[in-house]
Amino acid sequence: MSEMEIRKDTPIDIDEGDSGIVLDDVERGLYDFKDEEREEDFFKVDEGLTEEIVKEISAAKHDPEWMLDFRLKSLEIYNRLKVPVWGPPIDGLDMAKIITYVRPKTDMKADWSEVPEDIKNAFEKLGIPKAERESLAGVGAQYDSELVYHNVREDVAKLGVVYTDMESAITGEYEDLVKKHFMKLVPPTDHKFAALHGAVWSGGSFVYVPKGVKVDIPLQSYFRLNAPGAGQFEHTLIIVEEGADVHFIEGCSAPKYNIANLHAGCVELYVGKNAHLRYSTIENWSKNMYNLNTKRAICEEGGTIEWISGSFGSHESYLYPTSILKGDGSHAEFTGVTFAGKGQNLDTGARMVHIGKNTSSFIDTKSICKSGGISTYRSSVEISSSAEGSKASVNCGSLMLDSISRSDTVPAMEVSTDKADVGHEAKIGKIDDDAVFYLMSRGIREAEARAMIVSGFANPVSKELPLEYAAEMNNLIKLEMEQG
Amino acid sequence: MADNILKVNHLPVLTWFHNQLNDAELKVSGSTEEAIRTADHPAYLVKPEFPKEINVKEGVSPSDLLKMYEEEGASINRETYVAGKYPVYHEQPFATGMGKEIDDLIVKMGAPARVIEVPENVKIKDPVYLHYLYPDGAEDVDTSLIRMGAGSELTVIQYMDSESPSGAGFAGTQTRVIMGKGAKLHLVKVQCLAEGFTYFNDMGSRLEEDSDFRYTELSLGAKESYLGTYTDQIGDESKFRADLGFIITKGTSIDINYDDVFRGKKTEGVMRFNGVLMEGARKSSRESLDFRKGSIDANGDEEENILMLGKNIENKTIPLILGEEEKVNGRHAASSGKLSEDMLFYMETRGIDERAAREMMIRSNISRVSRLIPNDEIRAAADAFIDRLFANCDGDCKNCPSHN
Repeated sequence: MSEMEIRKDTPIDIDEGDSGIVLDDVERGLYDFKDEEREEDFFKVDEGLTEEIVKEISAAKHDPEWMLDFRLKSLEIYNRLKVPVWGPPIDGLDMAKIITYVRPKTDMKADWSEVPEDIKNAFEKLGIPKAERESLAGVGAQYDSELVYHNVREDVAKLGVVYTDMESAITGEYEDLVKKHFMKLVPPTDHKFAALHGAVWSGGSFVYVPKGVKVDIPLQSYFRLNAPGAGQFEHTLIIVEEGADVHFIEGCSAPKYNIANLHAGCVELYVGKNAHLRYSTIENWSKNMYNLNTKRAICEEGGTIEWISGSFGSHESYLYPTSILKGDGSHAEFTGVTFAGKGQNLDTGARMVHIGKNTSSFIDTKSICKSGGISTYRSSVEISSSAEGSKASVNCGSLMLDSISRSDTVPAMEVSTDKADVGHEAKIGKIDDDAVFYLMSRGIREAEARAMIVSGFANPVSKELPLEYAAEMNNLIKLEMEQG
Repeated sequence: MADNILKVNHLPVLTWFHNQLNDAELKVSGSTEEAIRTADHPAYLVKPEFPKEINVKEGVSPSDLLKMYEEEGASINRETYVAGKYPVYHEQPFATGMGKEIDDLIVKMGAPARVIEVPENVKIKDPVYLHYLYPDGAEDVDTSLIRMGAGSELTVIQYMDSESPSGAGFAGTQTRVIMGKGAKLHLVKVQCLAEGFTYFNDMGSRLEEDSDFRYTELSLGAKESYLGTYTDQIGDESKFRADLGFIITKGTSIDINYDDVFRGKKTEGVMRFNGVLMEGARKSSRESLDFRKGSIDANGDEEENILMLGKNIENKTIPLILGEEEKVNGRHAASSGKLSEDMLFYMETRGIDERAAREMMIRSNISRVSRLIPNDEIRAAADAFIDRLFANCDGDCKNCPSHN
């Protein structure tokens, strides 16, 4: 029996459009505004995925020759690899109908006032310029396939911190550094959508933090996918040298359409000796989005990677940030919350690979599902025979808010040395009726009481986020709870 | 005849293939199939004595039994899902932990089955004892159905051992259990086979309302062991309790699939796994609590504790909690690691020397299961078998009693 043969779709008891995309959604006016894109303002490739399209993207991006070769090899790999059979069904994703490159006809700006008015309005509505003024060391803003704005504070730049778009990095003075690291952690052979990314990637950020430099306030990239039927394939490459420290935040959103959009980004993080990187994500794609994203970090001796992840949007998600603890004494933490509402099938989790001695990892996740949503927590903790003295702990909790939803936990552990301690705990349950009753007896209406309890359940994530992002996350939970 | 590679012990949902936990492969040689097909059955079962109150039928055709299950609708078909929507693999009329390919093998080999029926309200006090004694080169599969009438009670002990500690062979048991309303059964399986054996134990059960099924499994011998258990808690307030203990020595392996499916209201399922892995041991375990729609107020609790005592060990675990019902409580906990140095130190301060302390701690991990065997002789035989495992260990496992 082939892998494909064992996938037999059974009817899904939810409201679907022709594309299989659920049209019903909570009202999220903040994110759901649409900007009409005038054809003359954008450059687009044709729908689908062919060698000609890949060459066209490469030419439009002024790729060096090695990158064109890389793209074409990735395309070959993409055509060879099969769609995964173990996760949510992605039958509704038809690559022949996806536009893989949509570029606004504007150069990247370093001043908001120079960004075209319609695009600037979109980011104003999302609060990006305000956030930059108040709490960020640098901002990148991507609209469809390319960055339209990028800026880093002067005092941060003076420390030698590089924060620029990938296209500038790959065609400028950092080409060799990019070439050395680009898709080495996530090779195109990793899975079909990594290969797709390798073939058609565009946009994203390049961050370099020199040895010993500590960036006190976060850098942020915001990704907005506005074009219907388009894909976004941004590549984020961060190199944090020995003893350096940085916090990077990414946010993403899109308006809701009734045709499939695709996000297949790739994040590669290199954490040097005794360096520290925190990577925070609030993902709020619209519910017509297939979010097939790949994130991976590698830590040298004593290095630390911390992932903070909030997954709220998308029609379907495959998202499992991976930490490779190569250096002795390196450490990884993953703190995540996933909220699957009506029409969503979110398959999220983490992977920890322990190679160095005395490495440690900690996973703490919360999954919430409601109104027919499917939430799957999937993880793998792998302790190799060389990882003597390592410790790993996994804690995953699931909260089901009704009986038409589904919540699964699928955590794998592989231990190949006796000199390691691995612990795992998982729980599934419902909202405590007594807690709801208590809050209601204090004058709080039921919906609000339930939202408060769910926000409390997700607190391990929100308390790790900067205040504005924690507020945004709690707002998203409230919207889902009250309208979903 | 060509060798047969069976796909067994399927995970109820698929996950990443790199974990190699979606299923296991059991190799059955063509000559083994032929030997079992032509054997007189029951080949190696030491003549058992059954109480006169229960009905025992030998020589039942395995394909007739499968037809009967289909006609009775003995078990809801084994649906397995990825993210709730993908039926995977194949259906069995009465699901078992190892899956359909074991049924196919048994039908192909024509290994006849035994049907044990306990009439309604009949309560048997003394355990029924089934002793399988395998000589070197033995090849056998034994199949049973235990049907517990409403309100009946029984304990069954299946004890598998070898005539020679250095023998080799192939031994399989498959047991299906139907628990009538309010019935109670304690099924005990103790495997002390010689070091060259391949062993499988395939179990499936259906629990009606208010029934209470206790399952104790101790796996100590054999070169390769495959254990699969599927429990379908259909009836409201049915109870299932499973305790599995195992020791895996150098160069041997165990592959486990325990799947407890909750369908009835207020059902309770508890699974406990206690194992010791010595140098070079390989273990894969799938432990699933599967809450289906309607299992309101069900409680599932599963826990695994593994002691790792040497180099080159491969210890894989995937504990699933699958939920499509809101009002349930499911919990899983797992821990694996070496002996606690703090505990060793504490015991030494109490005058217990290090070797004795280590042995006590290792044995205590297994004795949580072995003490549940309701037969002194078999418990003593299991203890003696454990002594022999430690005495014969030629590994470099500094923590095991023979190497410190």
